[in-house]
Amino acid sequence: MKLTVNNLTKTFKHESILENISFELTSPKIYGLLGRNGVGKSTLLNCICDRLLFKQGKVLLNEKTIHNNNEQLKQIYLMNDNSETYYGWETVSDLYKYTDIAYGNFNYKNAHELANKFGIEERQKFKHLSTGLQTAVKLILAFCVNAKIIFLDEPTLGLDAYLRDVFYQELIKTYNENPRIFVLSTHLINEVQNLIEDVIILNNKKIVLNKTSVENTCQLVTQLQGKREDIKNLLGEKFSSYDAITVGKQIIINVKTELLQKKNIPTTITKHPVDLQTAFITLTNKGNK
Amino acid sequence: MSFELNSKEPLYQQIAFQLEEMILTKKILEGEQVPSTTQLSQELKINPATILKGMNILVTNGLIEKKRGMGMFVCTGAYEKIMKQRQKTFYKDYIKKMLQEAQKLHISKNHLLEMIEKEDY
Repeated sequence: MKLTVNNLTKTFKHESILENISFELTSPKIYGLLGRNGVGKSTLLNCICDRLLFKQGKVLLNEKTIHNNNEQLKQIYLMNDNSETYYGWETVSDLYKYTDIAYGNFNYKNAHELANKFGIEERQKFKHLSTGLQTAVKLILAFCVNAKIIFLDEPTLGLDAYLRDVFYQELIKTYNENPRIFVLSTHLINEVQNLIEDVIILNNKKIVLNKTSVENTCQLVTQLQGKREDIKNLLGEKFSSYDAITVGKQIIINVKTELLQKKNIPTTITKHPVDLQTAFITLTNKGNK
Repeated sequence: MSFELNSKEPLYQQIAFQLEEMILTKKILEGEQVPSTTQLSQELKINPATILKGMNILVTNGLIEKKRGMGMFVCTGAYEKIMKQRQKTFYKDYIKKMLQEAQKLHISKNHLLEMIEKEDY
């Protein structure tokens, strides 16, 4: 199973939102799609799932274009945060049925178990639920739908810490039982760091990172600690484009590791690894392109 | 299981280390089955591919082996192997750091030796 996005460009009123987006998703894998607010993650996912039109580029599933192709589209599922999309006054059970009708072979047994774990009454109307529990319902649909590629757009919106934990647990569980493609688009990067395998970063209208494991992504950024003067000398003109934490004459600064290549780092400056969230913040900071 | 995971080293390496620890401290014996990738990923809420990568390090080093249809088992001699490996890295992992700290705190070598002698070993 392979989904290929090829040179996708999306414009809105003559302004480009996404430019030449190309990447591949192969099964089985859990991907993290990361990006700043407003960068276009949801737009990208909606384009990929054939919900938004775009003039340039192609989305292919196993080499076949998915546009308007129901056979193909039935293998892809998008869980998104747009409540207005397809929720009227249905009950939770109704939503199971609708998903079953659209995709076939809905896993009702698993859905009942999950509803229990999330503390949801299936007879309740979806619109009467709190934001968090609405998200939980959407997660149930996403885990029980018969599709091979599941896009989770903001899967933790409104979920309390306890239910987020349930979500992470159930994600691993369903992934182990039925390995497929999951794409998590989330802002809680430190919480999903251990769950995802590969990272995709969308920044400034483009894919800036792709085909990279979590640990390799973390290694793209290094934390330096030392005297401000020493580090300023080491980084030269690049120094001013990074934020630093200042403690007296010492600073702590996260920089792109590529800046340190071929440089002799004095022993007064120490290097430290960073976690995925820190790496992401550094890589998408407007100052550093 | 007292798995302590930090965000400093790649996760798969930490998994490998923790599994070695369990063998070294005889929490899993030679010939015994190691928890499966599925079990570990479920318990720890970690991507199974990461768990597998960590386990494969032990497989490569001849510490655990896959028995077809049954799962992963600790190899005979694994305990000794890990012991020897850790003895080699003991200086770098513990002694060097201790000496640096002692130097920083102006603790003399004699004083250090005294402290070591005092400990029940």
